[in-house]
Amino acid sequence: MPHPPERCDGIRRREFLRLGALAPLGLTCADLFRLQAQSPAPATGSGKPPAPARACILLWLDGGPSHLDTFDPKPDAPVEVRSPFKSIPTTVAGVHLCEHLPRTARQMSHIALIRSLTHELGNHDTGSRFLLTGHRPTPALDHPSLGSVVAWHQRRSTHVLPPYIAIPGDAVGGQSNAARAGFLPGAFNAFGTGANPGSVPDLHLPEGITFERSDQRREMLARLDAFADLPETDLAVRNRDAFYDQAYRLIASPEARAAFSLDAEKPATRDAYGRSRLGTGCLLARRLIEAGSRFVTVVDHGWDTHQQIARELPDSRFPGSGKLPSLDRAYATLLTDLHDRGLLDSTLVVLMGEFGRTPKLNALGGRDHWPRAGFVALAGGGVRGGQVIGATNGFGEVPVDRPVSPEDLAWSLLTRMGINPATEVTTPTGRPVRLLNQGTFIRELLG
Amino acid sequence: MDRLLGSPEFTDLWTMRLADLLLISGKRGSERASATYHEWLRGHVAADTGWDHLARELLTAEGPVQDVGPASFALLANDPRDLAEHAASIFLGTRIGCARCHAHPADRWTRTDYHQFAAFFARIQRDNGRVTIASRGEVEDPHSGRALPPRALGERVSIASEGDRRLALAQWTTDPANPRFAHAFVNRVWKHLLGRGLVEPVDDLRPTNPATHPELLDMLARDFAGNGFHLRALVRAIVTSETYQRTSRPIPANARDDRLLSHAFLKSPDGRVLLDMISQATGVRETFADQPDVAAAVQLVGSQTPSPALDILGRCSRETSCDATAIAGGGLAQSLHLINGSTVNGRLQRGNLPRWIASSGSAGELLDTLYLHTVSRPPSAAERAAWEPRLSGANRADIAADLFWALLNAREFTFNH
Repeated sequence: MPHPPERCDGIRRREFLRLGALAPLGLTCADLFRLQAQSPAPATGSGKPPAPARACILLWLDGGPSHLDTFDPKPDAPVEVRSPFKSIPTTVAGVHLCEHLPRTARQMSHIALIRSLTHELGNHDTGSRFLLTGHRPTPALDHPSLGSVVAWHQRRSTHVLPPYIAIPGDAVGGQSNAARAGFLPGAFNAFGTGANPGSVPDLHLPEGITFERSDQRREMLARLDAFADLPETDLAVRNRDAFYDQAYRLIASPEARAAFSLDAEKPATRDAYGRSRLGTGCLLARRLIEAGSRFVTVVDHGWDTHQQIARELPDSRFPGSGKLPSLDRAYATLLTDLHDRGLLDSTLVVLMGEFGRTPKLNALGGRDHWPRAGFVALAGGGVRGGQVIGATNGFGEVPVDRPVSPEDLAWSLLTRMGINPATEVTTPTGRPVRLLNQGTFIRELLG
Repeated sequence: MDRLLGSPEFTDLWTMRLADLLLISGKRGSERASATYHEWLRGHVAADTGWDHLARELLTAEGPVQDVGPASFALLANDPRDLAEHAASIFLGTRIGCARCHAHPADRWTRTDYHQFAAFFARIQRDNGRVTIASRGEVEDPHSGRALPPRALGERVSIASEGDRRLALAQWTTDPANPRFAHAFVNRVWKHLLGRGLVEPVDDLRPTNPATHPELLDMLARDFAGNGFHLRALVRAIVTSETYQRTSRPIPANARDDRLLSHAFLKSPDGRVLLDMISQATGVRETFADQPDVAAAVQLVGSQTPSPALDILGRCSRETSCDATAIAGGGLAQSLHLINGSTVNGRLQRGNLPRWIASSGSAGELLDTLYLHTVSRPPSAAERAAWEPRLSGANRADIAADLFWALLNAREFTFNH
């Protein structure tokens, strides 16, 4: 029987043989985890690429933002395709955006806008997993999200702030685990800030407990643990101790705690970002990056616009009600704020969702899932702004130029973060896999 | 031993475990259907019905899901292929998903094996909350588009396509001659009790992923099948073994062993169990907004009950398999919560502690009470020497609260060792 060159989850024949050969040693069922990274070879290329980005802020538009009504308007398409919104020019000649993104249009010189993102997974969970892990999802192996990979890459750092933070949490793509640590240890999951960004639960001592008293409790705890003398070799014990240490570092650091709070921000700044969840989240993300976190995901739900785009996306009912104005305010302010603080060059800002939406408006005035065409906006982190990469056809159906896959995007993101995507890691079952199986760096980003 | 095996807590805990396995989330079907399903399961766990009997009912049930508990199994997925993947995982500890698109890379299953297995589920209908069997409905070969007759995994002969195909599947699954059925269950119970399956992951039994102790798994599975597939007898056999009773304290020569059972592994309790442990020790029970009558987290019917404590401490979502367990050692959010959060701190000023402080004559008596209610043993002489003077001084109430807090956060309390 002929079998496909690539098997389940792209195990190639040689790896397959290796997997078989390890089985008698029991290595296929490693439980306690040893991740053996081969040190990444620095990517070599012509010219000198800018220094890697130190941090990444990912704005995740959960549900799948309509490309036709935001970043890829088709004003000349027939009425059943055309957005109900007009398009407006940006600061970059020839590039137009939807009329509800005027602030973003003024930041276009910072933005590399990919209009040719394409894949074929039209479900929220599979699409989200593809975009956020850089791997086509498979039941065989649960790949870690890009944020978890960045955190894992930082695993020897003892920085006070968690390396990977999700605002408000890592629930994306319906019930998918797309933003989680996958086969990496749970320590590389995102730390969720909770539904009320700016007041992270349990970061502060309980009412009536002073720092002296908390220290006394911690000292008692240390003595109890010493008395009990449980084996320190146990992974669960080591993990648990590491989490307690990290928790106490956070509790004890006024700077770290302050990073999670918006109290120090001027009302004018808060207004500039917008008081929406997305605006608050973006401001918090900037604070956390500034304080040393490496990857902050801001999740904005509600982009699954199957109906009433004309009413739901703009502020048509009352100010602040629409998705687009709050996105515009939050995103554009984040870019200017990072720029003004000198952080934009070292911070990669990625704006995307799991897929685009159907070119034809449906009977309810909405659009359904359409993975074949979508957009990603990249800014900062050494990316050359003021350009559009790729294009869709006149109806926004398919890329006609420079298709970009989720693998390419993930590959570019990790590379920009100074991580070699070809780095090999060993899964809990002893299987060697690369951080990413495939993908090509999107050259234009640095061009 | 008999008292523990016969206790309602044993029934609660294993009902929860099996509800995790069967993904009784409360999201599929109505609330009443979930309650019926859960009640059916709990009744059988209480009665120690054989796992083969439960499997047959689950695989073949018909009728309105509101009234027939096991009929809800068919609601796990509408697509016969998805339901087949669930069934293979739950009853056979086998992952067949890869073979949906191509020959399984690490197991023997071909695409034909996969689709013929799925054909057992092709005729289930789910209308208005009623599970029935239709006279038509096929799973097609993805290449030829030809309808495939049902055939069990690893069997050569297909079975007749007419009638309720699931009856033959249930028969084949639970036949004592089918070793996978008993292996899968025994392995899961072993993992629950010892912290690691003899085969890991527990849903990935296959020849290329052998058990650490194959003879042991075979023997336990044979006994389990030979004695009517009863959970309690299996648990008894395992917990009375020398292996189960080994110390968790390693010696230098075996400290690195993570699978050969040379010493016991520490286990982090499930978040729901941990919450119940804290409630019990403090004498302050958790109340669940939408299930006011439920006294313990392990008794919750579905996985959707709002609970900020469980969101942090962790529970099986029952959306997809929870066989791959949660974070070993909790996470940062859990540590912060146990240190600063209300689950512990909200229980120190009411419930047991104020009563103990008021009723304990001496510091030693109070110390004994604190230890017995948390780590289930009296303090050692060294511990007594360390804590008694502090509890005798001024500020006794605060010191007692702090020590109680520390005991509830201690490794000895939060790990099963």
